[in-house]
Amino acid sequence: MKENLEKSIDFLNKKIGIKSSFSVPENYFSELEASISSEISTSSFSKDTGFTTPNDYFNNLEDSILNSISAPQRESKIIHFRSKILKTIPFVAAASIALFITFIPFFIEDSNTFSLDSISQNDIENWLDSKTFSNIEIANAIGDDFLKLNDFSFTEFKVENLEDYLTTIDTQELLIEINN
Amino acid sequence: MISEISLIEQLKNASSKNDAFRELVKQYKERLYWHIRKIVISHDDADDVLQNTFIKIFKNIESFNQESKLYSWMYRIATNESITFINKRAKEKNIDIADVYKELAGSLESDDYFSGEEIQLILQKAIATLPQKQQIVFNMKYFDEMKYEEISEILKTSVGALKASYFHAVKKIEHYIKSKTD
Repeated sequence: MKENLEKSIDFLNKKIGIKSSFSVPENYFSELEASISSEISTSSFSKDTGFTTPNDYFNNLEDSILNSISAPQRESKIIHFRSKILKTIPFVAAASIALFITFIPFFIEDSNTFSLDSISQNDIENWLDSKTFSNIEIANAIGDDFLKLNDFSFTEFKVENLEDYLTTIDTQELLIEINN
Repeated sequence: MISEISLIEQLKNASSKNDAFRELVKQYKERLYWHIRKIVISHDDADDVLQNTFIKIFKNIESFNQESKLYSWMYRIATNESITFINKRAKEKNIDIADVYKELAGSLESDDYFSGEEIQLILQKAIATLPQKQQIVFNMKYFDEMKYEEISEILKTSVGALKASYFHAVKKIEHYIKSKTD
């Protein structure tokens, strides 16, 4: 009996081979560990999301969706830019005139009371720093007798300011000025 | 129940389109609703997105080329509509998408249409911490018990990538739940 069985197995092995003809999907064994791990982890989670819906929500859903589909789609109104502008111009013009008439007394009053003293020192300095006019234009406007050397007689210069001035000044320009 | 092939034929025929569409809504309304609801969290938002999804399906059914199954095509539209909704919300509020999810999950405690217990709330909050794609894969695999091959057809992502996404999602959720319950 045992001998017969061994002979039969030998016969089968010779004919078919030891390998079975079963196969597994690609990467099956490499992914198996992760798959089992995920299954174990999720076994403690709840399958119920806890989400609910209003009563009869699903009963009325078909009608609600079909109504929204069959509702006539409103065509977007095309507004032409040109006609919009043309319509707006008279209103803008009227508003501008009204504003002008309302505020003109203030402008007139302001121009009567304007004086150089009403401008702060900072504003003047800022305006000069803004380089609206060149140094030559300012010099011409002031004139030769606007400032005299004595005006500076009580002016104190700090040493560091003088050093700064001397280190930043263009020596070529200084020589030209002295020679003139 | 009308077969999918027959339903598609009727949907593409002008004379039978409306009746066929009513049947389509009847067959798929709940499945699509719950799929959307798990992404957008709130019932009102899910209702809006579901309506938009069906309107899009109705308008584009002629262009459905039957390369994939009808339900896969509809699931894909529902998924894209839900993602678009979330992204739009983030843009409107000028915040990150991750923060939108945190806000949505945080609002569940006071939501009239959430009856979950503490552990279900923690699970939803854990899901909300995942990247958007991992959330969707987790919901489809865990709650909807879909096969990877089906998810792959809907999301147009390889099975291998889906398995990896699911594995990472589960690990993160497990870690989150442990940190909140231990």
